[in-house]
Amino acid sequence: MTHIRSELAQAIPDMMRRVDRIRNIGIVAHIHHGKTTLSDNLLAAAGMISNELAGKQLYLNFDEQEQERLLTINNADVTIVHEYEKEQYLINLIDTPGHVDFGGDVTRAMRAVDGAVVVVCAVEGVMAQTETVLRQALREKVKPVLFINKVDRAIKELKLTPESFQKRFLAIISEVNELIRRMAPEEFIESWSVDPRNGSVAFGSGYENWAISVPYMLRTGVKFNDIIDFVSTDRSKEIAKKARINDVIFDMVVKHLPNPADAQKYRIPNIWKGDSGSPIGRAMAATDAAGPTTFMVTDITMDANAGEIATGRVFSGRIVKGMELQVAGAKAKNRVQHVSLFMGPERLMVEEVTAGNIAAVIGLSDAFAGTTMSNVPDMVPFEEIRHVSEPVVTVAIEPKHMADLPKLIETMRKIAKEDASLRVEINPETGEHLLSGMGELHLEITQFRIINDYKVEIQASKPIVVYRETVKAPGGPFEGKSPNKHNKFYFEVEALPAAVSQAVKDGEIPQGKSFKDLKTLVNRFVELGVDRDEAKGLVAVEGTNILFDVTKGIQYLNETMDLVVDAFKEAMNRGPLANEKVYGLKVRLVDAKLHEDSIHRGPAQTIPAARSGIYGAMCLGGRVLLEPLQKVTVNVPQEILANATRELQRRRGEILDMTSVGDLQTIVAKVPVAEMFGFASDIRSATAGKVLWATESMGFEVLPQELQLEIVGQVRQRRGLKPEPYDAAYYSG
Amino acid sequence: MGELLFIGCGLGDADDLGPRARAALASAGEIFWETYTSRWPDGARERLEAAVHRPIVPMDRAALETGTEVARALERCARVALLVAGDPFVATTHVALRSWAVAAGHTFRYFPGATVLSAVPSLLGLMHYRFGRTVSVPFPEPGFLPTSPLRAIEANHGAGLHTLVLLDLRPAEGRFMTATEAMGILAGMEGPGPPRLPAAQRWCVAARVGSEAPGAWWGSREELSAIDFGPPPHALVVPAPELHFEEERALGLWRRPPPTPTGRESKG
Repeated sequence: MTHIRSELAQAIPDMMRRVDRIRNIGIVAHIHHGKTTLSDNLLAAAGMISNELAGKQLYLNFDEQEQERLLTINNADVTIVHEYEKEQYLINLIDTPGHVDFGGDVTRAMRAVDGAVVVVCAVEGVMAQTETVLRQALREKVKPVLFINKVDRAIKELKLTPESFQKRFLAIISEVNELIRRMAPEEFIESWSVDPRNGSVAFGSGYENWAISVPYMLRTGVKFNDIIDFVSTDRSKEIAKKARINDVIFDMVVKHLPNPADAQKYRIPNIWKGDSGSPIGRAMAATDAAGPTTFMVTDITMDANAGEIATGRVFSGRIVKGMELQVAGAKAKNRVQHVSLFMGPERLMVEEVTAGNIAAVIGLSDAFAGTTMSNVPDMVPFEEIRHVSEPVVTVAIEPKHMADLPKLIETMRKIAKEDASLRVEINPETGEHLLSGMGELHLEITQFRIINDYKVEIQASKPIVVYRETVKAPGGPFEGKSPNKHNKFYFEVEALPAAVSQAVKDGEIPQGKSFKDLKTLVNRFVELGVDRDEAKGLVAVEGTNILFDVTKGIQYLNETMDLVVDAFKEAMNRGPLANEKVYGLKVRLVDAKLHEDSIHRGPAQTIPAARSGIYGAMCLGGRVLLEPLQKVTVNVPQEILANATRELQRRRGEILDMTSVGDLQTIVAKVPVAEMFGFASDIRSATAGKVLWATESMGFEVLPQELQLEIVGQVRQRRGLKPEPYDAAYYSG
Repeated sequence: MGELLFIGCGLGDADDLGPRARAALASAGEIFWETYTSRWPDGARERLEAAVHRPIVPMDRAALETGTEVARALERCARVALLVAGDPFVATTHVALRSWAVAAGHTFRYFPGATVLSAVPSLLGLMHYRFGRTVSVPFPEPGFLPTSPLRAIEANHGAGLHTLVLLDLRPAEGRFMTATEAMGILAGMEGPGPPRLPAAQRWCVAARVGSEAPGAWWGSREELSAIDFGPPPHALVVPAPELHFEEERALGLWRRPPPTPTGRESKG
């Protein structure tokens, strides 16, 4: 059973230290699979909200925006005490968004937890984002259990026989297991499969507040046929009394998901590359509350009264009011003003939060989502939190009243801190403030917040698609000369093999230069099909692009290489075609001729030379623009299928798959982001509102040939560049 | 086809140009004056313009490097003069410009000027025969802190040779590296391993060589670091471990700073 809130304050300080009795979990799902309703009902059972409101209130969606749009945007966290086999357990639950536009938040939440309840709708089955969120969890070595939700709807709408129900559920389970097998860490491929017989799968209805599992059925004698009877005769309330959703799900969580001490043993090497024999390394592996404090911030929220609240996982030591923590690699110290546990929109102030728990901390002004903090100076930071998708849509924002400009800049800075999937930058050419996000909706919501929460009146440009640049074919070698003509750099470029770009995107190959474990990295490159000699020449990774130095024994090149990297970074962030970022490019430095005297090969000489060399090689390879695509999944009733497909096709959409379950038709299509603007209202009117849809990033593909010139011209014009890009002759000058 | 005159102004300024160079200037259709490696005193340019009856057009680094202005001038008139600090072909850019001009069918004339490469050893009295590879010390910039100057000093020293160390300058920005700064930057090139600054070494500083008020000093780095060497330009020399007796005698002409408060004296 689950304990109600009033008892928590006394119980928690003791419980927090019993690491074997803690579970840190997240609930993840495809959009509209009922994750937030489930969370609400779990909370209702925990006494956080009244039973009547649960399921209607969407309590965890406490942001006004979220309530209005029936979407969960930000993670809302809560701590619950649950009793299992006469022992009390502390469950820290993190709610995560389901809409792909907010994918960055899911990734960060996974860093804080050790286990995940994957929610799959019984009607729709495994969907695109089910795979995405599962991948995010498994990559962080977060163990999954499965909850098949909306069984009530399946019973009422699909009207299947008990046998076909069983078949349907088994199909969902085996599909989930197939994904787990494909994406799980090697050592857990077998043991992390979910299995209804051992209770790592539960079925139920978040809306009707009941759930069952095989062990539960065996224990109570309730059969699935009984459930079908109850639901189809509208007596769900009776099951909800017998098979309480919180009991079944939290029992599953306690039994099948690891406690922090067990999880940290295998999770720490995955997320922290420091010395495992050091005091910090040992403390984290042992979840030692007496060791040095290590805190990974996974979320920053703004509270009107308290200011910035940093939420995250305490991996070792403890966080106590008044102590000083510093960002890894920085000098400044932040004093902890308050430490608390999250209770949805409220916080429960506590004396301390110890290793293995999730803490909400006030006073850490230097923290960002993803920051490592410690009371030990110079701690090696945790691995960067990997984002699966990158921003694809941008708007330019300006204040309605120029006097608000400083306030707007401050607000945008704060918003970027809260939501790591947003990018904020100032365009140096136009002075515009650019806000980039995962989709149109993401940016609309952010603008709404700037106006309503931060009270800054703004106007925004129409959304602009973020393009990428690459080459059609290998280009080069191309000679780039320094302005003084005394230094020459020779470059070749080509598209990176798909496996390598994927590894870069996944963060498996880290960004930057000067890599710690070059040997392992080289071996990984060789596995991915890169020539060993070339791999050994790894110099830098910028975005999805890699620079290799394949020259041999060129005098003075080593002291010039940092400048070549600067040029590489610049070129990759401002492509030669339209100043868009370059995507998936392999850049090889094949030769260089340098001046004897160092003053003659300083930054003013080397950077332009290397940049021209890279740009020129790209010209020879044939520059092309890539556009972002989204996988759009649309669910509509059979009779209006044609309206929905028409809406997709007139947006250059390509239908990938069509399936039907009962009367419900599911269309999966690939649509360019550029064509998706206004889709929300258009599809709603085309289907008279009888539609559920979701989008997911599908990366970038070459823009159709007939649009290349036009779009390149448009982007260049917007940037104030001359319409025609420069040619190879220009870069050899 | 035209003729391009490379005229070295030596270590002084326009007032030091000899009669042959002045005559050549007076015969040139256009005169360019390279400004990025030197700074002339106020009025020097005007006096020279008055003497040769021609305007003198300043030219910055970028303009000289692209060479287009010189090329256009050679289309406009038969003879174009380029005034440069020191000795023309010491700079690679002038060599490149000459190669281009000859390839384009022009001829050239060369008016050598005094250069710091020989003037610094001469003022100090160190034999030019005994100098190894010359190095220069650039202003450090983000991503650019080369260590090759220190490696060359170490190699020269190991081979029993002196090293002439030239210092970065940006006259347009009013920046001239001082000898003190340069010693600091060289020390900053030392890492945990090689290259290292030669140990227990005496160093020489020469300032304003070729002007009316030159200066030269020698001593340990600690001793020299306390000295104000006056206005730029400065140059450094790292002498060989052993000096010839004439070199010893010559250095004796120059001031050695008083011993540091610790009382530790460098040998020699």
